[in-house]
Amino acid sequence: MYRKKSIIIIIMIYIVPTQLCTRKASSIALRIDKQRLEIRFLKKIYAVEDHCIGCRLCEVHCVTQHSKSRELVRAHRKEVITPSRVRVSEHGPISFAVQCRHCSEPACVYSCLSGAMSKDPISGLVIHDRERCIGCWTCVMVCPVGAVIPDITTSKVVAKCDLCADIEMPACVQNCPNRALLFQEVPP
Amino acid sequence: MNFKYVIIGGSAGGIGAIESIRDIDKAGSIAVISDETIPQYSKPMISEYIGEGAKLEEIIFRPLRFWEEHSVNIFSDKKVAKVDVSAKTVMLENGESIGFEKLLIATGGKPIIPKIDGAERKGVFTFVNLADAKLLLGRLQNVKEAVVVGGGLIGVSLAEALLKLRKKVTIVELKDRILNLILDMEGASMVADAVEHAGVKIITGRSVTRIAGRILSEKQVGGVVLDDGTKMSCDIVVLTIGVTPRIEVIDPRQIKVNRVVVVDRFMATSAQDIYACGDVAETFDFVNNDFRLLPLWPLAYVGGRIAGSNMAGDKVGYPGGTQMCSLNYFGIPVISIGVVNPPKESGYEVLAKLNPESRTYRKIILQNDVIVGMILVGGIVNAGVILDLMKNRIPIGEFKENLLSEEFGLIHLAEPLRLEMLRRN
Ligand SMILES: Cc1cc2nc3c(=O)[nH]c(=O)nc-3n(C[C@H](O)[C@H](O)[C@H](O)COP(=O)(O)OP(=O)(O)OC[C@H]3O[C@@H](n4cnc5c(N)ncnc54)[C@H](O)[C@@H]3O)c2cc1C
Repeated sequence: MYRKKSIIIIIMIYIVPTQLCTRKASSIALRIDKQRLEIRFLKKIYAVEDHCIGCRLCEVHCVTQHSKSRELVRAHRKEVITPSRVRVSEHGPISFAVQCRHCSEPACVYSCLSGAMSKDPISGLVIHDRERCIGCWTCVMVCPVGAVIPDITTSKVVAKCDLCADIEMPACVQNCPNRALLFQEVPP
Repeated sequence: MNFKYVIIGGSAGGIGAIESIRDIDKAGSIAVISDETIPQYSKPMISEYIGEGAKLEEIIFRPLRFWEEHSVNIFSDKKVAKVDVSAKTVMLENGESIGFEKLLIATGGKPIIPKIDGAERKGVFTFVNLADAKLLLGRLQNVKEAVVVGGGLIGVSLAEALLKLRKKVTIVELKDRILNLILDMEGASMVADAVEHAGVKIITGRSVTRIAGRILSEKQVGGVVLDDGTKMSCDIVVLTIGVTPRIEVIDPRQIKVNRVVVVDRFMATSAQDIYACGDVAETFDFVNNDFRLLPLWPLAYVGGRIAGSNMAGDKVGYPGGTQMCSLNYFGIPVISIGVVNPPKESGYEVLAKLNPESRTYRKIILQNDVIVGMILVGGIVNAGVILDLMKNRIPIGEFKENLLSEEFGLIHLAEPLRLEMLRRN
């Protein structure tokens, strides 16, 4: 009994400092307090096919949120924008929006040639570092849901969902008029 | 010196192993031995080091503090001479010996040097690691013309880098097309058009038989002679015809080697407690259902992760990989996976669509209603969706007609599969 406990304590001591230092590195984490962060990152975005009308407002708001001004009209008319990180697919009567699933075994992270893709050990977010990306498209080749989008404007860098980590609710979810995108802990 | 885990090679395979070992075992001692000074750079990025003038910091795959962060004892600039299976030690060239409980051999590959008359001349290079890149870069200043022997992945990437430095570049390829292992004639000629349009000369169906000396200094490269007698002047020759496993630390009587280190689905070699992964080992190929050499970065990294998990006591099998390349050279995106040149009359079905105007090409290869290969040139969005269908051997059924559409994606799959993918975690 006693032995087991001491092993657990040793492991905890080991884990805590490494977590602290990764947290320091994560700019997202700095902006939001710890408890909210933990709750938020248990959540994922789920698409509800039956509610989607294919209006593509999620794409518009994704682009806006990731623009310089974050203003809808200004971003779309005056700024150089990156492609939307959420994509609406349509086929006959069916439509839905797809974005990064932040997989537990992320193929993009495991395949990245430059080290630009990583999985944050605390938030579980799959993060893409534009600076380190070389646009080899290996992540595009392996993403099973097709959520890594080659960014043609820069021809070098991929665009992918970051769950809008610095606002309360991802922009696509917040602006979906039909609740066809949900942000929650369990699948609908 | 003894460690629980010893890893030879700190590149894709070695790093993958460390990351998965530390997911399971936070405290077990790890030693990594590499004959490189900074082992954790990205090999595919040595072209950026040449062409883009990228600094070393910009081509590292994991930060410099990686070893420390993962509590790894790194022995850099140290070469392993031999693995002693029965004593469970590795012997370094400097005479030191390091004991292990579990060993990973992730020594990668070395360049194949073809037997060419004059290959010992100054100005003949290989291009597989940072040391090669540094040597080459150091020499480039006075170089006007370069000949790249071999038009594979590495040759084409180097040609692009040299072109960026305004060198006159010629690729000499033995086969009838460049990138012949990963592309068919249509795909290769689309890439060749882009390469030639950018200014690189491509000669196919020819080999270099002699590297000639310079007129006043015979020891320096002055040109090459091809098998048809053609003479070309050049200042350097780079040999990029392929890589072969670096198995010299292994005694094949102790660890089974079949040109490549033989491993099972757990990345274990024939010797107890010894694992291998990456360019030195076989990988399970899920398309061909066999083990083969697949010298690719993602497969080395994942192979390393699998090896690491098993070394740390989990039992994890490798679902496998296959030939899979993604290139973005000369502004033309290309993805090639699996069987791309199926032998004729052998039960394969080929769907293909070529659009010369938009410079896109899409080819899907089927066998018994399952996708076994693809080539995408130009439009590559959703390539991974198709790869996943390949991996899971999903029968194509209704969505066959949509496969050639550039819009093809999850939406075309039957509802249960679609929902499963959409809700993937
Ligand atoms: C220019 C170039 C471009 C490439 N482009 C791509 C691409 O686009 N996509 C792709 O998938 N792959 C690409 N590759 C291939 C990819 O780099 C390899 O598949 C990958 O590096 C294999 O990883 P590895 O860990 O098995 O071996 P390596 O990366 O070769 O690392 C092995 C390490 O072990 C060290 N070592 C070997 N023997 C000893 C010893 N006896 N003692 C100590 N240390 C030793 C070596 O010095 C080296 O550091 C490219 C390669 C090159 C060179």
